[in-house]
Amino acid sequence: MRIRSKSRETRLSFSQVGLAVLERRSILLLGLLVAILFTFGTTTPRFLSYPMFRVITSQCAEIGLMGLGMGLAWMVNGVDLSVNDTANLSALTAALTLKHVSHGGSVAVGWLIVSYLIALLTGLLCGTLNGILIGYLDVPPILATLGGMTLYRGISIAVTGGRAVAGLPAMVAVVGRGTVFNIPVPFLIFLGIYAAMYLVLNHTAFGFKARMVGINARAAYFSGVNYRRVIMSVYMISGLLAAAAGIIIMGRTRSVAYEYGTQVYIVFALLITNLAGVTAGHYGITAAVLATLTLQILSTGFYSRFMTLPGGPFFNNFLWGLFLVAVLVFAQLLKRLRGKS
Amino acid sequence: MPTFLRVEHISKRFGGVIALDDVSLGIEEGQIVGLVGENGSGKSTLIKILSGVYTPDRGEIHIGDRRYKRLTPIQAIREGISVIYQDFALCPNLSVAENIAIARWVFSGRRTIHWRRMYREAERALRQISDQIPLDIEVGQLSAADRQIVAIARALLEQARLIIMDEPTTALTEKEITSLFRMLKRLREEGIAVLFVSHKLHEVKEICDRIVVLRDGRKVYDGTAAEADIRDLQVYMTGRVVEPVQFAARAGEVEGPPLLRVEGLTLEPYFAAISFKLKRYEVLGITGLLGSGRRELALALIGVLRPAAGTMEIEGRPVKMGNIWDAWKLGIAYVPEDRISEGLHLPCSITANVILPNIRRLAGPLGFFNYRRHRGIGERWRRELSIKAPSAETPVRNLSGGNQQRVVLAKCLATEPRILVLNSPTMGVDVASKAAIHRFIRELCDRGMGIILISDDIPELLQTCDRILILKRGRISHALRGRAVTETELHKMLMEG
Amino acid sequence: MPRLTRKFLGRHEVILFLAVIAISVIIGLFNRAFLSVATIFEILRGSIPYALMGLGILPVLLLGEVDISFVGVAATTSLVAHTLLHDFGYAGGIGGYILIALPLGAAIALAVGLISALFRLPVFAVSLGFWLMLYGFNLFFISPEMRFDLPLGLVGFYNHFLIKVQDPIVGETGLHVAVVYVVLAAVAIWLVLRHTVIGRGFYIMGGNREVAVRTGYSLVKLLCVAMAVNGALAALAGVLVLQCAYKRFFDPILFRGAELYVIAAVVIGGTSITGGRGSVIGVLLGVVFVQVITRGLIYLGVEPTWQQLVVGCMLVVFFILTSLRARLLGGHPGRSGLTRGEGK
Repeated sequence: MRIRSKSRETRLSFSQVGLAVLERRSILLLGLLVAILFTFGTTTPRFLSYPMFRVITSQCAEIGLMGLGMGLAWMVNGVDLSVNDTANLSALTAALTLKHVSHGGSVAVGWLIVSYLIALLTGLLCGTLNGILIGYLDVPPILATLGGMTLYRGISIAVTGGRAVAGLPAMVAVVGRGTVFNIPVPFLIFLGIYAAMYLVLNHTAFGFKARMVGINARAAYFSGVNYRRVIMSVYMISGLLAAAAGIIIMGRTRSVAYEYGTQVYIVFALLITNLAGVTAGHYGITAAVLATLTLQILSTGFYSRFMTLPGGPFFNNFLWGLFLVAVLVFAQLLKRLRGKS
Repeated sequence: MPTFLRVEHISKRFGGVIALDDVSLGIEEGQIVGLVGENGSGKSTLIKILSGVYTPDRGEIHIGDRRYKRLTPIQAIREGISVIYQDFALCPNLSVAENIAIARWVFSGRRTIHWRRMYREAERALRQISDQIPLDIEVGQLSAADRQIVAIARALLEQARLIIMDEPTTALTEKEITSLFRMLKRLREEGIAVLFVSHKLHEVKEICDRIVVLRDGRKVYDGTAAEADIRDLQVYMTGRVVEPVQFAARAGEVEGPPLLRVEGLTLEPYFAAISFKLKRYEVLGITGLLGSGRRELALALIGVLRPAAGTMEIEGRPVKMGNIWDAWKLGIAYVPEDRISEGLHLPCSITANVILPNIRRLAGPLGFFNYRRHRGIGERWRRELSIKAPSAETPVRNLSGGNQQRVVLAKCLATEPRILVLNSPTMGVDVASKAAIHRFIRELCDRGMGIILISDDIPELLQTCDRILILKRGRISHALRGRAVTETELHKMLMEG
Repeated sequence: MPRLTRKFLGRHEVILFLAVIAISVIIGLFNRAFLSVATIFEILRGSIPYALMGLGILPVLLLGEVDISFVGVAATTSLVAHTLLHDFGYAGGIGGYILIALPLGAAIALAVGLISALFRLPVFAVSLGFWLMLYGFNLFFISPEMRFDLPLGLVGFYNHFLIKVQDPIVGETGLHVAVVYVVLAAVAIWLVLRHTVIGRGFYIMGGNREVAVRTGYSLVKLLCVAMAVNGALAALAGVLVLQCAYKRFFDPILFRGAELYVIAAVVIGGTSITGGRGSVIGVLLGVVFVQVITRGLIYLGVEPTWQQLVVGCMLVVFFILTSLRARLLGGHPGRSGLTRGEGK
């Protein structure tokens, strides 16, 4: 009994200190990905085609960025429920800026960049508030980000009067719908951020400290790590990523609405972290990206199957809720099974 | 006195490890029996067998004229065996009365709660041992000693006839210990037996009628407390005569300003007007009972607590520490008292643990840092401190207590500190590792480090320290040369008002 | 006596009650119309659904778990009950609705509790899944539209008052009959939590799980009871109050987003989401507090779109205040890090 548990812990520790390059979970997800692609490819006409590839890759960035942020929070024993509303609020600030400076549907590139910076700054501020509440004021993460979520959504509603902001200059669509060498820009952004996150998590002192804080914040503190700052930084990064997601959503839909993606996106983000097997102190970022792709393919597949139904999106919501519960249960069973064998 | 409980030829094995080997033991009514032994000697296994948590492999338990092959937890409670764990197992958010009485209401199968009756029951139990604690206050607001009284009152309400106390004095101040002892004597008069489990021999000798020593799962000594000699008991516990380490004090030869100079450090209500000097090549012991301010002083020395007044100088230069990371930057390393929750990241490798306090220095420009490039560090320290592990990538969780403590030391030493503050470094560590750690402390001292050792282990202090400060109610009451006193004298100084 | 006075004044519920009064008076200074019997009745009427749901999640929060699926439960059960009754040509009053919705609500919430307990999952994550599932279910399987086809027995329930008053601004209003249900639920929950052995179990489990288990309580059992109560009360809120006293139609997305208001109210009422702390009075006061503020804003001439912003601000300010208070009261003076003492 003892020896068995030993080998299991060894495996755990390896991945926790970031030695394993391709972890078990990534391989599992890759298999799942191929299986799903195969299923839809054989049952749905024209599923394995370039237009479908474009749809999937350009849409996965939004949920993926929120998922990456959620995963970070999860890694330090937290959760960030405000990702979706941070994204919408950030996009809203950018949209209002653009509305203000654009003339007849066109805007200078400089202003576009400024508006994006404003959006990122907003996301950063939202994340900072979450971080202060959780890191410095010891508010439980669920509660703190639920409060943040209420506040950010409240601001969006108050500023817009509950209406969507549409009619944005055509140039915003570059980020949401443009392509470079036939690869959608959102996907490129997602890959870029993935690379940056990979670097931060696995090759910087911050990433190392964040993981150690996730495992045991108290011991990290006694080793001289300013764990409060680390926790705050994690939520700040999550806010930034959410803002990036908001910019992409704004580009894709050319509008901003306070209720865009309400709850579904949080469920997606939670699904990504759970599928990727994120635990305290352990975050396989490659697995998170693979989980995002898996989810997006499923989502697109469902959509193309059910969009002909009346109320198809509602059915999708129903399925996603069910799916989240199923994934949670399945992950737990997997863990138990591993504990026994 | 009639015998309340007798265990006969009890054995218990876990996998390949023999936890208890043919142990027989009798406890009389109204007797206080001290059960002592090192960590891993089988003390806690015995407690768990008596409270029905474990089933013995062999042997019997006799209570009155009943014989049990094994006890279930319910049977144990029915037979009047009650265990008071170190954390007292109380609910901080409930009132004193409810904490005392609720278990009885649940066990007696009642459905509704009659508050006035519950308060009356609780009051009767509590007033047997204390007149001070109000019944309606939340337990979370009580001191550790009061919480212990509440736990004992709960046991009394459950009509306990044998109360097992697991290390009852660890969380108590000297005054509280005295009143605990008074209370135990009162229980004795009422015919209630007490099994007093502790590793502090002086206390055991003071309060107990009989002392039983366990070592490696075997009973090696059983006799009246009056006849027992502390030195002998120590030998029974450890299985060897502990040779005092011989060391040469060199601190006297050092010239120049002291390594650390503390002037009038004050943080009410924990400690006040603390002044001392620490030289290189010196081990300074700081001791005192719980509540003497010993723990808080340690935390202030490493920047966790900010003193309200007083100054600190390192090598003549005044320093200000806003937080613990400032201490690490100034070359003050800290070995925390709770290895598991404060000292180590258990699921992580030795390397990762050693790297953490050094991360600032190891990281390149822009904070880049590659774990794999620094694996040598863990390996080096594993060899240097002869940590028994297959490799430096072994998770710390798989190491023994002594080896884990060495990892904590490695963490500190890798930062190349000038001052090392150790808080109870040998708590729960086996004898061999303990001796090794003591030797190692002296070795570091000989390399020119200044060491502050905070401990309540009297032999440890006498063996390793050049000088010893005794704290009492937050003030230094004695300052001694390490080898100028005996154990008994030091113990007396600690305990006297 | 001074000790008792201090204890009384130091209680969260007392502070909250005084705050409600103070805020009402301040709003009243700006708009005299706010300080009237009619306003009190309107606030009480508006509090009814939130109070019921708040009372429902109280036992769940006491265990240290967070649930948000209750709003979905309320929506689904009321809609299902309505559809069923409508198809059978039911023309009676509220009784038929309660008979169907309550057990159904308890069953759905029980499923959430059972899944969490058996697989050792946080209730929050499971309930998020159910939240989405239940609203999706409503919109897809039952009806994507609001249903105004009330049975005869319910028409006029909206104006069923115990005490009637005439108000120059609000018009005819009064103490709605549904308040009775809240009072009954509050008393029942209070009795159970305060005076039964199982009720105390919620507090013990929330205070120290190990002690609770050693004392003979089972987490699975307590969680199931808590969730069943939660679901039943949410269903009650769904069919009874909101449909009839507040809105006059059945809504597939009923209460969507209201989970934030309920949790905010309950937390402001002094319930700790880490478990072990919270009271029925606190919940009721928290709900009234949120109602007074959101309704008061209307009297102050603030657009209703600002409501959520105000609730968000309130929550954040509340977090900051309680955190600072805890820091001032407990812990070391001059503490600067993770030195939480022996505490729990």
